[in-house]
Amino acid sequence: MTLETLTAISDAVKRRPAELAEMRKNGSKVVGYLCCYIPEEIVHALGLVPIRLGIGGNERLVELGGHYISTQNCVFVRETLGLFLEKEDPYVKNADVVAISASCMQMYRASELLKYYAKANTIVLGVPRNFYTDEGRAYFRNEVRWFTEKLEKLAGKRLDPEKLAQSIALFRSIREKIREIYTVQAKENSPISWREVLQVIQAGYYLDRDQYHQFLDELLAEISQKSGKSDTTPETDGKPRLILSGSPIPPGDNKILDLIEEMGGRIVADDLCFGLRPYLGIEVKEATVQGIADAYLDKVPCASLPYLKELETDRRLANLSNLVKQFQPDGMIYHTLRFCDAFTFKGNETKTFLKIPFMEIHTEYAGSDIEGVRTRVEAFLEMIQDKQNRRSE
Amino acid sequence: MAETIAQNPHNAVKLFRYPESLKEKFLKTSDIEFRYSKAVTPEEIWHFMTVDAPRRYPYAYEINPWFRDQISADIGFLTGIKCRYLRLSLKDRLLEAHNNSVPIIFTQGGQTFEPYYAAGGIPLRPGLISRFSDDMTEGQTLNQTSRDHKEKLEFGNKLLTTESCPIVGPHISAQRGLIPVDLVAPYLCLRCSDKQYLVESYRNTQNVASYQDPASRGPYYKEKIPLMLIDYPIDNQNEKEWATDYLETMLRNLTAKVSELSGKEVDDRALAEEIRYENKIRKLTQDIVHLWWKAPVPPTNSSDFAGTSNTSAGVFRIGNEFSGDPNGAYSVLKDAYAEIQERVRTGVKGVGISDDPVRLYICGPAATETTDPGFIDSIGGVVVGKDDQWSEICTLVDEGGNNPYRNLAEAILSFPMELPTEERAQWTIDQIKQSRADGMIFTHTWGCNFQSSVARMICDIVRDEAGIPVMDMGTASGFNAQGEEQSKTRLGAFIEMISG
Repeated sequence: MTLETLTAISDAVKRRPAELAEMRKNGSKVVGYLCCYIPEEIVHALGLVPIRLGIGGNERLVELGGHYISTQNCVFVRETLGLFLEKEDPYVKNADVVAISASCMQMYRASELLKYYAKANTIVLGVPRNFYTDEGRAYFRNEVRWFTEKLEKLAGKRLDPEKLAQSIALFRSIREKIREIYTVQAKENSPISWREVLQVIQAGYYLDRDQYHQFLDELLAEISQKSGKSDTTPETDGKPRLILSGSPIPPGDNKILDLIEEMGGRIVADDLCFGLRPYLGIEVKEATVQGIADAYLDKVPCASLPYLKELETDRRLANLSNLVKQFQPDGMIYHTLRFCDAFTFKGNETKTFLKIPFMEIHTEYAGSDIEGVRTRVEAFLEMIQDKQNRRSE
Repeated sequence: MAETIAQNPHNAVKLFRYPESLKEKFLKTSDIEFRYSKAVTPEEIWHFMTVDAPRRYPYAYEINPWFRDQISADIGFLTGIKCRYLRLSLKDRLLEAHNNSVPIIFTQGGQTFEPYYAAGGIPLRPGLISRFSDDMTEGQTLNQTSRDHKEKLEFGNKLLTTESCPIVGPHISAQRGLIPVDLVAPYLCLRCSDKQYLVESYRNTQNVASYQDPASRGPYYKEKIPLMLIDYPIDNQNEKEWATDYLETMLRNLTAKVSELSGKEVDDRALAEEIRYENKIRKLTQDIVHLWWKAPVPPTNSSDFAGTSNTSAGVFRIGNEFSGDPNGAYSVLKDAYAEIQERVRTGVKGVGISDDPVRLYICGPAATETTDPGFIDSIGGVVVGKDDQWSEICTLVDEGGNNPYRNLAEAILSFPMELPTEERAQWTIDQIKQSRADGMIFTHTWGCNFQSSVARMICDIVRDEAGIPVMDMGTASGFNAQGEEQSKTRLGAFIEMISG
């Protein structure tokens, strides 16, 4: 049973490329961006249109990008390059500028290649590796200030503090609603699944943010209505509950998600950068450019940023622990793309830190390993179920 | 000139020996002055290189088909003996320093080292940590040391990821305590993206089951090694004041940390003094390189000029990699300049170089050297430069003003190898022209996704704008004595194509 609002959102996403093309004819400027340290609030407050770019799962684009970058770069980066070289993606075609936050070093390199080979108009926002230090914070504040000045030139106007405050409020509300919807999906007999929530989140990359906010309100109302109809205690579906972590799973990359579902698993939580993570731990305390810089630096960090202090104070790991506590998964699937160093290097420490059933799937978009991955997922789910059965006996 | 290690007669290992006829001339050369240990006379060096080292490090003297630049064929180039002495005496000098409470610091390749030395530490890049670790076991043949080296690499691959570049090996050696390391504090220059995650992995050592097994640990195992990253702000970094502020602060923190470990007080004057000293090394190396480049025929072979990170510190490299002692490096470079100048004056060509060699300029990080320069010479080529160390050597630090940290930060952010790739390519073209290179090779090893990502772009720009043949060459993982056939075949074909 599909919620009506989901259909409406899906329809709006289909209409969006044509809308963007029309808006650009009328003078609007589109800022396509890669990686989630780009402060959308600033883009939005300047009257520019933020669109999150990047798709996955397309071997043809990976191959195309791979002509210009090494096969030792992750498939997401290769596909991104392929996407820009092909120039058929409606969002790439409509991007006046491509903003790239250099949290992932490979993505920084991609920005150089996009500029050189695909002639993309790029702006790079530096992100400090020492993000938890005072000097790292000072650097990032200046980077965001510089980034804002670049966007002001594009927009042809200065950032209006009032508009910025409005944008901050809008994005805060969007994040709150996403978290609310997300909480519902993990319940038993929820009217909305994790996979559907993921689609809702990803629709937000493209839609007009005011319209998107309205959709989220409608979705919450519909969920509330559907949930309220039953007054009996929901029964468990018996499916192993999983938390999904690791490398980016952008729109279009369905390989691991399909396999988990096909094998009878149920994802109830994630910390993916194309999933829930950008909505967690981010709070703009001061409606200024500096306040935004601080908020982005203090959110749940991407694994691409190294943290050298004790594991116990690592906010990435703390977030995973919180998600485990909140959503009670039976195990974690840790998905890593080949040559995605940030997550691959951290597999072992994540496993030893969380101490829950854990399986790393190391893969690419290619279908050649699909049966091997299927077997591993199936075995992992069987192991969890077996454990549950023995516990209930 | 050769002796045999008594083994199974079918597997007998032949060792190179310096001929006694060289001794008299060698003894007339100067001492090597060191900062962290006493000066050594030519007599002591000769004894070490002809008696001690062949016994302790036979791999470095071995004559076999997998020759890896251990000993240059140009035995008449006496500085070459000293270059190799710097490498082969590394272990003794480091252990002596360690016993004298000098902190040993794990850094990154191609970076500046003033903050570490000014504060009384010894910085070592991964290749030298690796050499130090391998040499802890003495008496090994090339095969044995290669196998040991592989074991360290495999240990790291299993523990972290098989997709790391070979520097996982030395990091794991440090984590296991096979060698003493008192601080891990590299710069995060653009040459490497794995480095940051390798440093981060030290946090988890207490949860690693294999480290709980004493058999996996070495005598220097510590539960906690202090960690620092000297971040490298990217993208037009040298045009942003705040990027310089950021780096300057980190350099101050770094010196303070090293100072805390060494117990040596360090002030701005001490850093300024160190900058002056290391600039002197840079200038001397630049002079040597330009002398070499301008010579009608290459005055040394590739091993003596470019060297590798293994046993041979070619003069080119010593300008950036001091083998643990800047004063020692400077001593050897002074000799090198005089000797090369004399060779250029008399028109001497390095032994092993063909009559009209194909001059090759090599791009890519140091970890990618899986083919020895001696092999390149033997197939009609010669290595005229490598951008890795050269990028740092070319960048003199401003000695004026009253803020040496600022000067250093500005220099670091201007390293041409670390600039945006289009600018790096333009600098590369300029070096290719100055060195009169006939071809350029961009090498990158397994797991090096940050350099490999721009290899094609640099190759394309250089080919189009400098008009010379280029080759983008991925190689296998690190030191692999018997796994280089494909690299050698590609190199051979490339050189044949240019010379033909």
